[in-house]
Amino acid sequence: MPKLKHEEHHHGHQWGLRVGTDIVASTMIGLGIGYFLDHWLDTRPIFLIVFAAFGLAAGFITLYQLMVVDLQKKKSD
Amino acid sequence: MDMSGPLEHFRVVIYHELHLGPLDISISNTSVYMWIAVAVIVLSLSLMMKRPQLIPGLGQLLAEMLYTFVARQTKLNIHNEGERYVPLMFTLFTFILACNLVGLIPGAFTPTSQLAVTGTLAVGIFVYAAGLRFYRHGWRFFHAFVPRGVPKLLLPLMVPIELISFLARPVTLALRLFANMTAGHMALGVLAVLGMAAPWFMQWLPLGFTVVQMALEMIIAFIQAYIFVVLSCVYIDDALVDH
Repeated sequence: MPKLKHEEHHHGHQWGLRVGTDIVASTMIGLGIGYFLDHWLDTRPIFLIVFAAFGLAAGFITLYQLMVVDLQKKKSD
Repeated sequence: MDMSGPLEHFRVVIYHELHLGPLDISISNTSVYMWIAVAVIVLSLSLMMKRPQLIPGLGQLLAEMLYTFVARQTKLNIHNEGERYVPLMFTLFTFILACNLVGLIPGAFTPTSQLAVTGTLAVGIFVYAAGLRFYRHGWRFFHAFVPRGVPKLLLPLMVPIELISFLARPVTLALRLFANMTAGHMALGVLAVLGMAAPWFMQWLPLGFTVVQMALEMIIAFIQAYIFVVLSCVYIDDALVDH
């Protein structure tokens, strides 16, 4: 099927709507992993802090990939 | 409309206790409204396509538009094998859409405002995509967590980050649908209670806003079903392509 022209524009808002929950969910997952590792190894609060930072970083990296990498790929197409 | 607060209509009420071994399969308002949603979709689609014609009538046109919309999005996002996933994605789309829309009937319950429902859908898609990736790529499955072109020194940092962003996928999927539906209905409830409580000469303002909010909710019902399906496609596509 030939690609319709307006489908290109669709991508902007489609990805914009993802951003909010992506950061929240990654941070939550990081916090969860940290909490359970601490619970298991009895090292409160080391892993909680480390994995919360990892989670936040993961959220921002997803955001970066969304905004920069996908856009560059689109431009080069 | 009950005046008992904006959270009252999210309460799960169990109509009939049912247990199958360790499984709790009680019939609650969530399951009843999911059945209603499925019935609405099956009935309306089969009525629309009852007598298919070459030149489609209004109902057939609507059903075909819905189908081609989902099919096009699926083929656009799953690059080589999109054809095979169209039935799954169409089912997913119509189910979520019907669940969202059924909840907009005044007095009805929204199944998608329960994290258990959206979570089950999201985890199902996630487990399927992860299994597919493992089936296709074997142990190279884990290569996806090692991003290319990253210096070796940074790997201990990057691997947990990639792992977390992979694990966050079902959570975002479930959370987005749940949060949007819950927030929208909560706002509707607050506006309606505000309208009832206002003095008579001011009632038009919040009650007018409920009408606007209702229209907004209908758009959101579509957009959320669409996003859920598109992201499921992206995750499945991610599992199919080589890393």
